[in-house]
Amino acid sequence: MTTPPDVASGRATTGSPGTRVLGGLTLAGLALLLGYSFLWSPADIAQQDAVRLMYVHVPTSIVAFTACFITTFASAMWLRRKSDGWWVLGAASAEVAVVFTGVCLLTGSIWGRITWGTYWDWDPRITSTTMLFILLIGYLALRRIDSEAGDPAQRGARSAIVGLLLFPNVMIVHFSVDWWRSLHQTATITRLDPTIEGTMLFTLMLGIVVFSMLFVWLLIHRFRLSWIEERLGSTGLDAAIGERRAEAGVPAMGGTV
Amino acid sequence: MLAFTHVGFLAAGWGISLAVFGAYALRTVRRGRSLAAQIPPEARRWS
Repeated sequence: MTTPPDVASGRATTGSPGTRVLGGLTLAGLALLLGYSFLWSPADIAQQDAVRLMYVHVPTSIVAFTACFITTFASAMWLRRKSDGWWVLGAASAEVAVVFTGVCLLTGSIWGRITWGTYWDWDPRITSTTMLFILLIGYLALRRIDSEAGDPAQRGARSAIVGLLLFPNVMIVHFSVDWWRSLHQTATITRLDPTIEGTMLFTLMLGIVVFSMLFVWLLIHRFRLSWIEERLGSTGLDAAIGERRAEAGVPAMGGTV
Repeated sequence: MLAFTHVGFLAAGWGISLAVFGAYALRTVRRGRSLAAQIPPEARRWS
């Protein structure tokens, strides 16, 4: 078996000069963030060094919510325009959102064990974030399940409607600490006068920037990968239909299916 | 000498996070490489 020339030369990738620059900057940013998180930012008076989990937990939650917003927007645009680009963007953003939401839940669970003495509690924010995680997985699963009629448009509409529910769910997660009694504190960094020490605030903001860069890098690669998968999927479907038609002695149709 | 409280929890929280992101990034790039070779170069508008 021979290796395709594109693979041998390393040219066939989902990367581009722009993503390589962004990837390098993201790695450098991560190194800087680790430095600030563990060396240059102080421990908290009450939480001591456990506060250092904030620099990964809060940024990943913000990025996860942004990713959900992109999927909701892409779903709405797909319902309106029915174009492949919005379809692929919705899937790519949702998959990256699953990763960020999962990390947010894991780090939150570890941080909760230190501060509240438990890995899990039926707290409104934890519960609504878990619901969001399940909704994201449901959205991705629906995209893979064919409708009874085998109609791709019906499958797309079904998953796009679930996609529309993601951002409202993010709003529930965000306001849950105000609407219900919660172990979580209310807004800290979104108020005009944040009650957080200078270096800690800088480290937190750096974390948001770095994890946002990571998100953009992952989203671009995942978008291109989904684009290729869609192309290969439709090519494979065309070939399978052609084979079935040939077996049945039916002449091939013009154009693509 | 650095001396942190909650070292195990910090290591687990940061370690799991970086491992998850690293593994996902690696999987995405590798899958992209294997599938990108199956489509014609002109279809890869980004390269």
